[in-house]
Amino acid sequence: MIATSREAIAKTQADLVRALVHGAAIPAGFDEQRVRAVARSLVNKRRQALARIWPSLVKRVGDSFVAKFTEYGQTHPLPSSANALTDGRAFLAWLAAQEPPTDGLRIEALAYDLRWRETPLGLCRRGGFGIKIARLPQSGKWLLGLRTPWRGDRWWGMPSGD
Amino acid sequence: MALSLPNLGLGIGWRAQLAHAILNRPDIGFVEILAEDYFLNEAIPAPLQTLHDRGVHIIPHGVGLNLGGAEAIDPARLAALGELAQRMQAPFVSEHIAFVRAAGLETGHLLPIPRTPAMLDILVENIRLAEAALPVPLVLENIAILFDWPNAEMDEAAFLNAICERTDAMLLLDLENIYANARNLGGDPVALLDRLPLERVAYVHVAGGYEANGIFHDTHAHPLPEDVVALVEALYARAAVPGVMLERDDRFPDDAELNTELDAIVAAMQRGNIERHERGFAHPVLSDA
Repeated sequence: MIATSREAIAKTQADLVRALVHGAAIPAGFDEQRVRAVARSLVNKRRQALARIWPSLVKRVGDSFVAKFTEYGQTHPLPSSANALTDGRAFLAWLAAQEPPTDGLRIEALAYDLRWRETPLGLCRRGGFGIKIARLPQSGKWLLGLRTPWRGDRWWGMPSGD
Repeated sequence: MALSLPNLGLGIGWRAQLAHAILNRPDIGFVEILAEDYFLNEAIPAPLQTLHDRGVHIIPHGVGLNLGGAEAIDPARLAALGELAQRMQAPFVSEHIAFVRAAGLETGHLLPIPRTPAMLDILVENIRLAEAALPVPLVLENIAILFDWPNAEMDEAAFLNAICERTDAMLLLDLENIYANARNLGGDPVALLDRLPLERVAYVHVAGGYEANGIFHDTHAHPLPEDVVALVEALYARAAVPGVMLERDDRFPDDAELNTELDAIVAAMQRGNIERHERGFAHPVLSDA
């Protein structure tokens, strides 16, 4: 009995989530205007959360941040860790697929990759040793990032101003 | 059945941006932390440790358990919440009467569930499973909704009463959510208070929001509406609940503005306490906050 109703409610919940996240058809009987209002607010909420937790990314994307994040957010659901930083990293990957990244955006992505590890329960700060070596796309400069247990993350070859 | 709860008094949602103001208020009795932010980080941040050493209760508040989801609860999240409660020596943990994901899609948002007998059975099963797995009591929060399910058979008060009758869960009463729902979907917040099992309230949330295009948005980023402060007074006039906390998550105010809001909350609790004593309400007096 519970198993049957679980299936039925799970289906409507899934339909509702698809309507909110993917813009799919709204399940019958729901207030369409209000469901669409929530759908819009979900992308705004993700954008605001990202701006709060990762301001340097927003600055580097520049004036087009709102438009670009909205385009990304409407086509890409929140990563399963439901974490704003992970969302930001996926946004950087999406941006890089759209147009060649600037040095600044590449640096943001590398810094994230050196520091964070994604797990099913969310983001985990990486421990122990880690290394990132990359050639920046615009200046062609080499960048070296090193994580050690006692000094955290350090970078060499960072362009001035970064 | 009412569990014995600590007297919490005044509280606030812990945010690093508010650390200075929080550490400088000796009357803060509890802070709430976003549980998922601490699942995988071993160390307790120094300012939280300072608060803990002062005897301030730290309450893990989850958003990802999906108690209102018709899919099975993720045991890993439940275990992480329980471990966090022990790490923070929390008196209890709180979560929402909502669903947040389905079919592998995360919404990052607390979504309404149908208030039907079938959903109630699922929710009760999920809550009992969570209660059995958690090392501390579970406290459940009412959410703000912009739309309802078309097949709702109970109103919110009836649904919350039914949850309390069938589980041991306590309530985290979010007065701003009650206020927002009344504005967006109709209803009288004070009449709702009269129908709730107030002896089961473990603590209370208040926050601000703003109205746009005829919809009141529960933002936690705007000043506390006077009507919500009035609901704190109306609540305390009915029952001595253990504590009230402010949620402020964005557009952070300076210390003076934050303190003015916290003072307004304390004053409303005190006015309500006086009214309750004067009127000699029948509700049990748990404590004098």
